[in-house]
Amino acid sequence: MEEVQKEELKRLPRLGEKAPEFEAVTTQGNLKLTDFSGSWLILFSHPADFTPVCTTEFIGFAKMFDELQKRNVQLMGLSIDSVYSHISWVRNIEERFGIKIPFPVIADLNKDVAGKYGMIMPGESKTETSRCVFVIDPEGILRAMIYYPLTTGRNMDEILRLIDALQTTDKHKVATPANWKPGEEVIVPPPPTQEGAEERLKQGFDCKDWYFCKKKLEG
Amino acid sequence: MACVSPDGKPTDSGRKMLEAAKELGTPEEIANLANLPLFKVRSGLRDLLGAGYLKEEQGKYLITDNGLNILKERK
Repeated sequence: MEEVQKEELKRLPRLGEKAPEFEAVTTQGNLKLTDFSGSWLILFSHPADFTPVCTTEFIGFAKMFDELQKRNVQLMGLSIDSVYSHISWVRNIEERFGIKIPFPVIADLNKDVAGKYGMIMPGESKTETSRCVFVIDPEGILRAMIYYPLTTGRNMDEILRLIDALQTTDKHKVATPANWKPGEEVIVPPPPTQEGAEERLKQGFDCKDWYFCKKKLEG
Repeated sequence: MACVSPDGKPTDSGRKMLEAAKELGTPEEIANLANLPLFKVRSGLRDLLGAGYLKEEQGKYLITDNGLNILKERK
């Protein structure tokens, strides 16, 4: 009982904080989170190997791999399966679908990483990880989290859009509006003072009001 | 271990890293020379160091005599 309470009290990661460190057995050897420092990392979990929705997702992630590489983003999967199961499954995907899985997959049999990142949703399953996505920046800061249920495959375009939005924010110190895509206008952060609000309307941005201004990015 | 096989010999990626470490290099330099992702090189350097094929000097890595000898052996 006490063990269960401790488990529930375990602190889950939060946006803007250091992502929890780990060392794990993967299909590409033992990897630590710090091995990815200097590049972005998408750490994602799936419920189980040799299941249909997960297979479509792995194919989706593999197809997105080159686009992610262009953006200095690495990918790493995770489930509570053995490394031999992972190896067998990724080989099966290559044989049956002609898609090579180029990224490492964590074999989290002791649920160590899943526990640290809160990937197990006991209301859904106590033995499988849900479809979680953690975006970690080059400094190891957790920048975004997405959680999908077991039944629903993720949208790869949205994950790529999220990466583009985060990198645009970092590069240009702007925010991005709903459904934003690269090349579209971005949001100029609202001025925090009355004086700034008065000046904002004279700065040549596309403004609906002092707090709602957009601009085109150069280059 | 991704860069050292269970029989103690370096894998293909391990051999690439050893070749790249014939001159003292940082993980980044070795990754560039070996044309491997940096995360894989960082992990592989730990394996190769543990196997005695590399030595580390202030964050840079250099192949050892053991490493040179194993490279001469056929795969």
